Amino acid sequence: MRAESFAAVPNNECCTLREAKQSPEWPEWEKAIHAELDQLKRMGTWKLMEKPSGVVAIANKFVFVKKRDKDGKLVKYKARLVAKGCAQRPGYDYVETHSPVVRMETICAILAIAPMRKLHIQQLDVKGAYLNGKLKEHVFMRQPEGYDDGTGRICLLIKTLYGLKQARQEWNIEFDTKLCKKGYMRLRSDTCVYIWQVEEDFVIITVWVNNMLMFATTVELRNKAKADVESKWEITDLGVPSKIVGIELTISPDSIFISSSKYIDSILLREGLGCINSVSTPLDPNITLVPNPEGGDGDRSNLFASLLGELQYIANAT
Amino acid sequence: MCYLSGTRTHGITYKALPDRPDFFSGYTDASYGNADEYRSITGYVFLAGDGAITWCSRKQNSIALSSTQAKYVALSEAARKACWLRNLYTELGLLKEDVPTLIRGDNDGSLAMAQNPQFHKRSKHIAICWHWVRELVQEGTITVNSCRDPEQTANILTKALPHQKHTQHIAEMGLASA
Repeated sequence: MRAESFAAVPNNECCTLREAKQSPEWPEWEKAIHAELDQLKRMGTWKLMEKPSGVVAIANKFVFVKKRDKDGKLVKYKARLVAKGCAQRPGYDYVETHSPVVRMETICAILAIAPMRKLHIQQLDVKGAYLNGKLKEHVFMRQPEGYDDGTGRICLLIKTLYGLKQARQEWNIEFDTKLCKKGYMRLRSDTCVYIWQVEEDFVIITVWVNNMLMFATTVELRNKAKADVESKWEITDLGVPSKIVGIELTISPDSIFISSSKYIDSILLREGLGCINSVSTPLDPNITLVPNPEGGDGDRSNLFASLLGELQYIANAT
Repeated sequence: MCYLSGTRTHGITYKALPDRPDFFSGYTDASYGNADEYRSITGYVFLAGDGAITWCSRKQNSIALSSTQAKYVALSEAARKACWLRNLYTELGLLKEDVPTLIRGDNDGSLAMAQNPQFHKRSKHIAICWHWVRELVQEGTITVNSCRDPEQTANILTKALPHQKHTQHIAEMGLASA
């Protein structure tokens, strides 16, 4: 199994609980926090208990994100309680952490044949996906930041809360087991692709953490696949996909167009190059590149590295 | 960065072409000894529905002694990707096993080596692992075909090109403004 790292989508402002409380958008954030706490309770994420002696409880915090659609419009305020997984001790609090995600190439390969075969495409999100994973290890956590009941009790985690090192893997195992039970076959060439076939008709499901794309030859099959997933987890139906892992999709009956213009825009803007003059080719053929002409170590900062990572992501995606 | 600014609205279009058994094919090319340490650069791209589905541009691991060798290495890397794509499409039930995948290379020497199992003295130093391309050709998994520079789409992935060629190859990969 292989975990390919995809660059995070930028432009989602994050802040701490204290900053959120002081911001004019606090009512929105407070609503989001309550929605999150409700969901955690509903999923039976932990049980409160007296602190056993000798136990170290890991900390947690809220992460605030503004979700945007493909035009950059604000669609949702989202608060997510995350455990500070960095405090987990390897070998004791967690063992394995890897988890596969679908390859970009696979998605492109399937998208390319979609117009040819007139496939019906639909995108689904599993809500609070990680909270479906069962935690095998005993991990203790303090009560949610700012929402302590004052009794001094701590949480014994039952489900894999976001931020735990093993959350990704446990969710992937949970997803795989349940989908295979429903009769879907996992591909060997990409372990995040599943297929269900009846004679000439088929439905393909690709999964990127909690985000699924379905490609079906008929509407009935698409609805069947959706019902199968819905019977196991709580989902959000995103309809015909317009954005997947930062890449924009435009789907029309006889063609599919993919691009990453919003992503490029946001990077250019951040680097202060919002309205620079464009050139027609990436590199002048007459220039010879020399490694580090000024000598020295060059720019080794994280900012430069993350910029290079982002540029590579664009080059690999579209 | 300046280039990105001008192409931010560019994207790939996959068209609804008539369904054919050999619906995807590849281009491969290599630029000989132009990277640092005199290594060569592999470039390949696979197209389906008139759009690029997977592509690669990277420095080769070994140092090639001739452009034939560099292109042969590129061909074998593309062949590996072709095998993966074939596995994927076969598992999805979209590909009939007996249809070979076409890969277009642009060096007659390397293509002759792929098609012809006779002994080549000058190519003996190429490691054995590259020679499984020949086996694939014999098995009918892939077919190789000659395709010279003006139509060689993968050229763009191996080196910096002048404006006119650059735009032409970009269009061939289905890349265009929205």
